Amino acid sequence: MKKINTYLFFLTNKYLIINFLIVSIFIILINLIELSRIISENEKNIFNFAYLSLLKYPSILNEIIPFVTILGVTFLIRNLISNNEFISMRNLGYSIFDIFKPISLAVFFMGLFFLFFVNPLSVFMETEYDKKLDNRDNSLYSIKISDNEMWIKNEIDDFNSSFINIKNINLKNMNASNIKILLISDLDNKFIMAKNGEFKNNIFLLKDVNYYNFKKDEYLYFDNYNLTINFNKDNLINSISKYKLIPFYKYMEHSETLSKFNLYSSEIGLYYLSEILKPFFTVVIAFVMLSFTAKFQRNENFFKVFFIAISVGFLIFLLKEIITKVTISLTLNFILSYLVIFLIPFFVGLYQIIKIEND
Amino acid sequence: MVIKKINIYLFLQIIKYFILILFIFLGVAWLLQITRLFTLSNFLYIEIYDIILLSLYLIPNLITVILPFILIFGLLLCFNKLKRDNELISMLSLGLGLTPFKNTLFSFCIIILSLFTLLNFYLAPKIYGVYKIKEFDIRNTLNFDRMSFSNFLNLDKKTILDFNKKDNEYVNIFINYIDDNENVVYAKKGRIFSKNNQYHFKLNDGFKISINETDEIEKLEFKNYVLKIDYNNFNTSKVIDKNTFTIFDDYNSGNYLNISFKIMDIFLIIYIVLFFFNNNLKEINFNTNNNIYFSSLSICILLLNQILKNSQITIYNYIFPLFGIILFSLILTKIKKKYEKN
Repeated sequence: MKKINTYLFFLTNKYLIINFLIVSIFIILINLIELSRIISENEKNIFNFAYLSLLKYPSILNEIIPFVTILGVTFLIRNLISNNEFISMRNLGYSIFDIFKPISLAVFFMGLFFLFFVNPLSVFMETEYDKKLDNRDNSLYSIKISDNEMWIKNEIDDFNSSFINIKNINLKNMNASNIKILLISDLDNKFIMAKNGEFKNNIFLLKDVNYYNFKKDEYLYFDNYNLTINFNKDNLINSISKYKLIPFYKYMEHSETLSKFNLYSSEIGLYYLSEILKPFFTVVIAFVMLSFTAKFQRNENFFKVFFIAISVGFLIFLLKEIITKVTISLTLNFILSYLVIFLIPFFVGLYQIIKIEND
Repeated sequence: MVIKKINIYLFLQIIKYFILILFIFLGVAWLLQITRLFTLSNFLYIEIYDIILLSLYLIPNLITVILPFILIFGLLLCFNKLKRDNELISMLSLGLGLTPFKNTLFSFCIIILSLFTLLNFYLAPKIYGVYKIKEFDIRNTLNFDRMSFSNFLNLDKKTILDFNKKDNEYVNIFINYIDDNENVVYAKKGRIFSKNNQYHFKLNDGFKISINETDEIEKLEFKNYVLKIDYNNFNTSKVIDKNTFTIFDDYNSGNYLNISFKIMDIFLIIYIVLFFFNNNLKEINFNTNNNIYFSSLSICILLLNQILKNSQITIYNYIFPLFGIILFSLILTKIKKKYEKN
């Protein structure tokens, strides 16, 4: 029994690795076209393409896990059936669940490996990739910066908020110049203009300040003015990053920071949750693939079963994307959405397996 | 009669595996593209149906890129299966030699090449052009009603808009725009829509601050305020890239480099089939090492072709390295065969 489980465990790993290699090379090929579109003309040479493809490789691996699981498990089961190994295991008294155990373990370990090692590596390398390409595309969920100009919306509490515009910010030392701040409050609004400013802990140290109070209708001038804010320099730097370029162990911290700038949404929550639970989700995908391919018999038309199984796998992936889209459009609770994403394939797989066992 | 039957059987087997691999790779590529489109369009709140429809326009272009790749794995998978089931040996034992294989591969090649030529030279660029324009339109058409919030949206170079939505109503509307002065407008609520190339803001309960060049402030408080800002239609001509040029466009514009890229793609398909025949099928050598050798060398050639095609090069800098690696693969195969015989 132990031998069979070990055999299945290592065979699953072998199939996953082969599929990772083939699919990732294939995606690199497609990515080259994307690269050629965004890379500047004078940098289009073979070394740059190779270097940028290398930087993109961990992200590609992270992106293709569901497909690799779909293909790897389908080809594995097909191989077991073709070699009569599957039927032999069944004759030994193995249920489909027993066969699934070592397979799921291999898939789960792969998921964990990707979460703990590939996820941080892909974040690091993708950031380098963006730097190399000078990719300044702003994410909707990060603080807006264009040409050194920064726009911040700060939600202080339910009644107070502020809009901050910094015309010139040095991201290395966080020194700001030409600053305009609109403080919105239920009681009173204020407008501040300052020549220079510096972020220090939770205080924005403003210099050469023109201060206008709406209620009192008075203009004041200050050499220095300390504006208390509910974020610090680090929060600001973190919020400049794209939410997908955050390693998994900083998801919580980043979500909290984004909330301060009114930039947190269910899209981010759903993305972070699905990244953390990816090892479990890949196991569910493997479960569905097993349930659809296990009914194949050696003398049966292999293509029909194969097409159906892979189509179901692709549909699960599409379902996940569609539910994500619906969650964003209707601002649904992301935990509920993830439950739907997780449970639909699980029950489909369970139904199929019970059907096979009954047959 | 027997040859005819074997040819048809072989042909159907190749087609079957080719379609299977096409389905898998096209599925993966299409789903990854649709994921990117979903991510891009999330903030614009475009209908799911529209995105799926838009992504379908990508398929012909994807096929032209991935077809040689599919060919490598389709042929390998098909003949490996025939070998494993001893069907190749049975066919050879009929005394027909390699003729059925040659005939079948030839017919298959003709069909694939005809389809590929049609796609590569005309259909794919045409449809990809439509995709690029539609994608550009979608990206640049802001439908405020579908947005739940914005993050300092650049309406144009001089106007920034930010708002929240509460119960389908625009709240905390912030507008910064520059005319003769720099203006900051804030309203507790209001309506935003676009009409006749203008953004219309019907704002309630707010104020407007104008700052002139000497930093003097002028304030206006309002209960109701209407602001209209012009916007320009984007020029779609800049979305056109070389992948949208058909053979006729290339010929008319004298872009012979692009034509040579496409001819080379056809040549590479023929080369891969010949390479497979010579390396694997001729001696019925389908062991793992030989399969890896064939697939990795073919992929290297395809990758180099893609990189060179997309680099800023002259026709000579394109042709020489590519033929160089092809020549290298031929010599390497010859040495490998000699070594295997010994």
